[in-house]
Amino acid sequence: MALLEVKSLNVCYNGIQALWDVSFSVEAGTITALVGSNSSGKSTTMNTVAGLLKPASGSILFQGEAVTTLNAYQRVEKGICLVPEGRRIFPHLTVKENLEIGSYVRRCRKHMRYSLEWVYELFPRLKERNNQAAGTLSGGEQQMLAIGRGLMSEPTLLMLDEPSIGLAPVIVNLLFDLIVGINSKGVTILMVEQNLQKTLEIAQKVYVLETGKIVVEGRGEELLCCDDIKKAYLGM
Amino acid sequence: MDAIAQVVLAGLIMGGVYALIALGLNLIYGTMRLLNVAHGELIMFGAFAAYWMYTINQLSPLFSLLLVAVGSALFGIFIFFCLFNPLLKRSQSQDMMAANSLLIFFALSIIMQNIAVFFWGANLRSYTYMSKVIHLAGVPVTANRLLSFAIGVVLCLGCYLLIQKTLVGKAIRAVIQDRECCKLMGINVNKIYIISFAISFAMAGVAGVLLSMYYVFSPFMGLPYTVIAFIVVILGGMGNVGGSLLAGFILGLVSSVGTALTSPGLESVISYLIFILVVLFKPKGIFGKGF
Ligand SMILES: Nc1ncnc2c1ncn2[C@@H]1O[C@H](COP(=O)(O)OP(=O)(O)O)[C@@H](O)[C@H]1O
Ligand SMILES: [Mg+2]
Repeated sequence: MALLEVKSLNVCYNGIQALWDVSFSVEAGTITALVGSNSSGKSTTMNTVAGLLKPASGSILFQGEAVTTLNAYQRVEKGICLVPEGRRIFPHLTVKENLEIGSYVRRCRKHMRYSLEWVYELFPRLKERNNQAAGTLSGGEQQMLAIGRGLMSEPTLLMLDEPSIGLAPVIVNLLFDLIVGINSKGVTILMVEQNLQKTLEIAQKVYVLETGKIVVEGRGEELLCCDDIKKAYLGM
Repeated sequence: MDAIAQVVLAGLIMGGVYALIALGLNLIYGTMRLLNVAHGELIMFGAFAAYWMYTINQLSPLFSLLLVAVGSALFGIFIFFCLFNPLLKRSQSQDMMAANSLLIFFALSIIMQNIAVFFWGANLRSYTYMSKVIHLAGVPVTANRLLSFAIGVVLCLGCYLLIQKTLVGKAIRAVIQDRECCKLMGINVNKIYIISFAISFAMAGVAGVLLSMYYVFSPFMGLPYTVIAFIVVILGGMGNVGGSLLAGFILGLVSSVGTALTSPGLESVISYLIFILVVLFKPKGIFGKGF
């Protein structure tokens, strides 16, 4: 049984359909990636899994249990956490307060202190900036904070929507190493990325979205090797 | 010298009340982006409740303060569930929500005014409680004003600590900044709204009790206080709860000094003048956006 199973998702924005019969699954312990051109529906898919959007039809199973009717905050309690596109850190809270908010759910409050230590170990930069307003961090640091904040909820499934966007190449390399590192600690990852080369290298499973439909799926290495697919769908 | 001290003290006392009412208004504005134009009527109800309990049941305002706080908070929760919860579910957009809620709050203010007129009449009222004059370092001040100031400061500090230090307070500030993202943090945003309503209504009711100890009040006293609260919120920054507290004291001081230098009749003119200056030169409030 897969950790996350998404079945025939149809999602509309004010009557305009953005996702058509999207089905995919994420196996426990893997890195799974969702790729596709701009406006292909990647964020819509992620937001629907996180519970910010309600699908017109379809179902979402997490650990075998239907979570389709749960609100976003209830899904965090179940272990689904989305680090949204554009980081969305709380600029006027300090770095530490942002992280504390990350472990707001009841399941995590008790271990807040340990989680903080773990995140600070992962991102020593954040510890140095502990008491600084999050809005004053650099872009890379803000992304680290957004991921750290997500980890504070001790997720079973961590979803990352375009984590590398707007970051310098050096930082991007660091970020991908970190994602692999987090995954090796047992956190399952579902990510959306623009950086295809790197994503195909680290993802075990890749789904390609085009205008709201899944058009290709395969293992990362497979897609990397297959020039036809790379040309047709990924523009590589 | 004494005259100056007296003016400053009067300003601080008024400022405490302003801070309380502005804090409440700003809490609902910050978390939900809704402007409660019935805020002044909550103050009015608090004043009448204290009056009623004191004159009929000889209940000290210090005690009715607690009852009014709890009662107002419950009233806020009741209003939220009856009127705003359905509205939140039905509204397609924030604009629609804001427009409809303004109508609701406006209706609420008219209904509350009329209830007050119906039960208590339209006359100005007041009562005497702890009106003994105390000399504070030579400055004469009535005991009830001093008490009101002390309670106001304690409540302001309490609210400030709640919002700055507790996890719920941090969640409130996070909701003020980005409510969609808060859902992704596992925050039940509706619960934060309810807490905001409860605190906001309670603070307004308490402010009414404090005012009633030394001011006259009537069913129509609400609007000027709504306006003052609004001015303080603009001064301190929309959504900046800590800013409201400071700005409340600042406005209290400035209008006290201003009226002392000119004439008491100009009090509201001075408030509006400050308001216009701030909107012109510091539209984001005197503290910028830090909260
Ligand atoms: N809030 C919204 N309201 C209306 N349409 C939207 C909204 N968000 C996204 N869309 C539309 O849905 C489609 C998919 O968008 P999105 O999921 O953001 O794509 P991606 O993340 O792959 O770039 C696009 O056509 C976009 O215009
Ligand atoms: Mg996107």
